[in-house]
Amino acid sequence: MAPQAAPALAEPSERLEEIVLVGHPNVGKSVLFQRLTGRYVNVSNYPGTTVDVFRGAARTIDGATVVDTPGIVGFPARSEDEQVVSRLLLDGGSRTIVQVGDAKSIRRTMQLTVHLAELGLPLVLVLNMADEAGAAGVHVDRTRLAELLGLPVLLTVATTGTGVAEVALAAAAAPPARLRVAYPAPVERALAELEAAIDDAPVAPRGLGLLWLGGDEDATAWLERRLPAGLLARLRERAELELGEPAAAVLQRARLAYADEIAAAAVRQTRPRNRGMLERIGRLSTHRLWGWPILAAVLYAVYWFVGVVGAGRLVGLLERSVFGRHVNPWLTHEVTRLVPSGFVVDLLVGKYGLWTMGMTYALALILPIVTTFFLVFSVLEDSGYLPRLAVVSNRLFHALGLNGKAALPMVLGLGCVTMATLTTRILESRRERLLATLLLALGIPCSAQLGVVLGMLGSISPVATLIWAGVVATVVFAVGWLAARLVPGERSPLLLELPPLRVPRASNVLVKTLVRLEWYLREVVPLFLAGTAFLFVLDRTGALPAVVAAMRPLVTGWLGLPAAASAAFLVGFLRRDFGATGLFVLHAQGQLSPEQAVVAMVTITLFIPCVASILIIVRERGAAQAAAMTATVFPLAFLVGGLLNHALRAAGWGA
Amino acid sequence: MSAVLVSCGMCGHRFDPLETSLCASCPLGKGCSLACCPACGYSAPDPGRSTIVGLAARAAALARRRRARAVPDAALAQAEPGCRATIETLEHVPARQREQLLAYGVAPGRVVEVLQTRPVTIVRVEHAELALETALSRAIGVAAATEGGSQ
Repeated sequence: MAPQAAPALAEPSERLEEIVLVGHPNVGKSVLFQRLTGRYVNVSNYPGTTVDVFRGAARTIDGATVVDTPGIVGFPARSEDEQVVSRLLLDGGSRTIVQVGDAKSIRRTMQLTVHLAELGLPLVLVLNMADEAGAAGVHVDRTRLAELLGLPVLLTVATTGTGVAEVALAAAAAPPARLRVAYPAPVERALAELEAAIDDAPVAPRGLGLLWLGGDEDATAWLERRLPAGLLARLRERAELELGEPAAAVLQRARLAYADEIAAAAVRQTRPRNRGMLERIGRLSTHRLWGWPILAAVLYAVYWFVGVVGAGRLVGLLERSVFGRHVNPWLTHEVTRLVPSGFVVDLLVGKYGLWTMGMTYALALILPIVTTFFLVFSVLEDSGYLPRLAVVSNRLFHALGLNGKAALPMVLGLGCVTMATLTTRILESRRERLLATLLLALGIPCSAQLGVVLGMLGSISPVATLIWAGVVATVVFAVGWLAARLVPGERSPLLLELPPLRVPRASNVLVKTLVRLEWYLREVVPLFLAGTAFLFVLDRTGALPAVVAAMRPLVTGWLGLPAAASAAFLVGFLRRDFGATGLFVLHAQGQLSPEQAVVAMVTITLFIPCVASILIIVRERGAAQAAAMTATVFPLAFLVGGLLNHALRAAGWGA
Repeated sequence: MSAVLVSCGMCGHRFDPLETSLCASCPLGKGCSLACCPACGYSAPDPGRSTIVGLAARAAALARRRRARAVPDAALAQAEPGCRATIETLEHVPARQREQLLAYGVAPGRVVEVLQTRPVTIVRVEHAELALETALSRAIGVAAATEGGSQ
């Protein structure tokens, strides 16, 4: 699933046949992709999951590739995701576009269809979620629609596979789209002149011209390279003078009118079936008063399942019983018996052994926690609740210079901050993406971290958990508030589609959880092993006591923790949940008082999540911003931890 | 120096609060921040003299200007939940959001159903639900809002 860098607008070239899935967010492109290729990508109920372009071999057409693209709102491309799609479409090669649209929202789908058809590439229109359209009383006359548009039109229900078999066949046989919307005369004159001047466009010259008139940057750049200087400016000036307004507005109006005309001719609306209970819950979940108790109930359910069941019972069972009593003693015995070298025995099953520390942490402590989290998170995602959270929390994020949409990466960050950093792309501006990334890096605990924290503090007292949550929330809020005022730029208001609330399909939830677990283990195990090996080497070379001594003023003096906590903080730089797990073990051994446990957890929670997340921040936001964040976050974590230590001591709490 | 005339809250007489002859003979003296109407004697706080009232008046003026800046005659934000409203204009909406709204089908002439107005406005367009921050729905001009159920 290597991310595809957006290619620059290329020269036309002959390539393998590609089927490019394009459409609005949340219309089922990813499920259709999975059905067409047999590959699974995360399929979710909120915009932004498909952040990269995924490619897979088509199951039924030899040699053809299916490309899944991020959901787009429309053209001209404005967000990073839309630019990726726009460049992909303008890239040369032999391709068929399959537009996936929501069968319920024909007018909206038609607006995008017009854009795509104007490119003159082979085009198939797939109206997905036909079952929901039926329930909403929308009846699409497929034959009539195909006739009016001059395109193959299919009705599908991708989640159940209904109608999907025909998609690949239709794509293989689709002719180039010939749809021609008539625009006002000044626009047509400008287009005609442009068409005469271009002879090697990767798409229909008329479509390229329309993209340019609409304000698309990539199309403009391509045309500027080919055409005599000043021609574009002259054409636009003349057209807009004759029109009396910007050409983009005229194009938009003509397309809207066309979409209305098509919908009126091919769609019949009858009384919708009552969705009853789900609709009522959906409405209550965004209610200004009822939204909060519902949110509290959801959070409590997550806490109970992950903190109590996962971090409490499952970890207890695995760590103490399975690993502590059976697996580790047996393995230690066998390794000692079979391996003659004391060094290797120590490396594998010693105090900082790859198995006894690295793998035990990864499998006995982290695995049950992330499994429960991913399970409950997949349910939430598929239910369509998360976008409603954006509505409820909009005011809160307003104070942080963001809008409610930022709730999506934040909640996703509770699963994995690294993944969530990628989804900040759904936010409109660079400024908002920067602010959200900073909050994620600073204070959003990932599932592994959260589980360890809740498991440890839960065993002390609810007050300990409250102090931890209060301090972390205050720091996140204060830093966010300050950053929003320091980073220049304006915040954009919330504008978000709310998908219908649905009962999640068990199979989808399970597959998604498994896919995420696989990804997570691949990510976690090597880093845990590397961290353990690092500690082992430090220990063997005698450097560990020196490092611990060097960190003593900070860890023992300022944070008031035992010296043994230094090793945990050291690996915490690699992965903070690894560090937290080390502190968890210290606490289980009775080496941390309640007050020390709270201070340790607050400090490690404010660390940057892991090396992988730093790498993603570098990729997404650039090295300079990543370095600035790292240089801010670590000292701040120790500063806050130390202040809390002194405050708790002064208050006499936990003594 | 106050060049701003104020209107008396009682009789409506317009006067310069610093130039009232009443103050000279008033026992409250210099520390007073009230302005008395020369026509009827009614006293009211003078924004020019009282810091607190001055700040409050400036804040109120700023809020009024903000509201006035981008509010069409009848805004989507004012429509009652359950109404169907015909979109009239998007000209007060910032360009980036206007493009998005148009792509969602919120365009002049189209009808949306208002489902909720607080904490944000939620409308149904065709069969999609769209959440719009109040700042945005306040900038969307609507022509007619009619009571009535969906569809």
